[in-house]
Amino acid sequence: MSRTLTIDPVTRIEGHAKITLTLGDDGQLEAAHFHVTQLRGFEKFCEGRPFTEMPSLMARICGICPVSHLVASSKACDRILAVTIPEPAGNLRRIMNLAQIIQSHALSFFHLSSPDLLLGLDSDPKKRNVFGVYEAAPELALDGIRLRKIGQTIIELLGGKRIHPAWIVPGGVSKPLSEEERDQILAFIPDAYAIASRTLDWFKSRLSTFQEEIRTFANFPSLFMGLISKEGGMEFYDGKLRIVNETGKLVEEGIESERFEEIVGEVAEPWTYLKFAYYKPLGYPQGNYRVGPLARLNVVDHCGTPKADEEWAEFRDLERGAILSSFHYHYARLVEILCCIEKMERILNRPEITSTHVRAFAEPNNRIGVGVSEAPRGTLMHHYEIDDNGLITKANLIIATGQNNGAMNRGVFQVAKHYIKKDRIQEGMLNRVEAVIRAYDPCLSCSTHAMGKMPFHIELMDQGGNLLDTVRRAAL
Amino acid sequence: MNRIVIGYGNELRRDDAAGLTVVSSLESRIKPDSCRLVATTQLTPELAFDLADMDEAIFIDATPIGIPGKTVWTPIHVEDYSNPVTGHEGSPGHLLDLTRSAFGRAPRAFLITICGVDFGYGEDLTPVVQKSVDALVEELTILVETNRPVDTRPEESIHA
Repeated sequence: MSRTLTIDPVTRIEGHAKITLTLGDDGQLEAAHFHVTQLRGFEKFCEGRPFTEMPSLMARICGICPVSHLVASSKACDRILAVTIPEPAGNLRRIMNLAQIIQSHALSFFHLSSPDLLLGLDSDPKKRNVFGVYEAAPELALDGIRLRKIGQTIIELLGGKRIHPAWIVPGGVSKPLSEEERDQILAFIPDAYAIASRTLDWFKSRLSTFQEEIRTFANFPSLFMGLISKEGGMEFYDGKLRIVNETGKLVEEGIESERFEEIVGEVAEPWTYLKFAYYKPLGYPQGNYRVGPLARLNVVDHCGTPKADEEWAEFRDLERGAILSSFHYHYARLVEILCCIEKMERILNRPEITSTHVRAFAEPNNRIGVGVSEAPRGTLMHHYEIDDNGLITKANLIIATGQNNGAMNRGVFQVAKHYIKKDRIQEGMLNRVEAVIRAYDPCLSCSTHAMGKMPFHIELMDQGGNLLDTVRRAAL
Repeated sequence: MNRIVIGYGNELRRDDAAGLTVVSSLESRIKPDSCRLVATTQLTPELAFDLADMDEAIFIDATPIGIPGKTVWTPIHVEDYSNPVTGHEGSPGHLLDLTRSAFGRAPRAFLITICGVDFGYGEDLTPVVQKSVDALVEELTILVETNRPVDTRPEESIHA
């Protein structure tokens, strides 16, 4: 007799989501679906707006990663203008993008995930939060908010405010960096390095305690996609797309931003508002791929900065081929924090970084503009089309979380399969389902009750609607 | 006395920008070193660093509850906030509790709320809220210039 198990609500993603698990007649898990149950609508309501408004509008998609949308959107507008922005402007955008990744990864690791990693996934939920971390490891907790503050302060120094800064604009940036501001940012670097190194050492020392999670957390073969530099290194702002498979073998590379639609397709499923992206040559769903920190460390030939390269080499030693377990997104985030700090220091020490030539001006010269960059959660694409008056006729956004949607669904299935036995929900399932989603650091995380207390309610019903088992955890 | 004033809200939701407007008005009126001013969209954990070495913290926010335009000052008792912060929507009390956990101390603190009328889309305050903001800016300017703590205000104006 088949049964359906529903977890509702799972989160509020600037909205809501739920999970349904379907058991077949033999009591085995047949399917798991991660339903995103609210429509955002940005692609539609931007139609008719002047393209120059798009960066400001797009920044408001998210309060945690507005800079990522500013970058991708402004790059798309640069293409519409057909300008090559001044090199100092490109570097300034890079600095803000790097600061964004640092603070976002810090939020994900220290605030959202460290309670699980430090205290254990089976620890008391009342303690499994940032206060529990303060009790058990106060220096780790302080490091987290300090690192996030560094990232936020850099964004504020550059853009005038921490959230939704309007400084990245079509053609460049709106104001140059002064020497004083540059020196203020450079003063943060030693502390940031120290925190990143300490945290990496701490995390690596604990890896052996997570062998079961590593084995079961969305640990499966898939493609991986990310941007790479000309030298094959880590690239967050520009570069070309590369895809590798689970053995690390090259599948595709050298794809410029404006050609992304040659390889990336999207599908809408009727049971969720979050689209699925896939690699077109393999079709859907075989062409599901992953993006974000784990994917980036899998696709690059190196990070391109010395400290991060050492850590990257150690990371890649975890497995032969690509690193597959999504648990390792946490590890990859820490390596990326280090890489971002190194890249930022390198750029800030270039003499031209304080140049006053930071913007190119033009009228629209193209009807289509595409901007691709790496956001904290993965590759982000903004594609705009305009009419003769410069008004948007089409906007297509491919968000990192959507590109990981297939993998998240598969991850939930894998965890559920491990923990659901016949008609009983095993202890620890709630925490694991939550944790496997959080490993991807989707935007869903900012709408969960971020200290590990999603308002879960699971009911296991039979075909007759009879309740077989129930597990409930209240929201905060 | 080291004092910080934190105004928070959404600048695109009309009266929700009341706290932000107070802070931006104070910026042009008080001496830069006389008080720390922070305007932010939401209260985030890293504000604990800003609070750690302060003697007094004033939080300013709009509220949809109450008599339109009414300004209410309420002391925040940190010991009432021993529950974990949600992370996504930290309140002043939770933030102060986080500060205390992280740094061993937290400043005495007050929350000033102004009751708003319109929280729809827009960048201007409603007239009644603008009037309350203007009055609050005057009062806070005097408080900062005379370096007096909040609890020297008339007792009946502070709600327990």
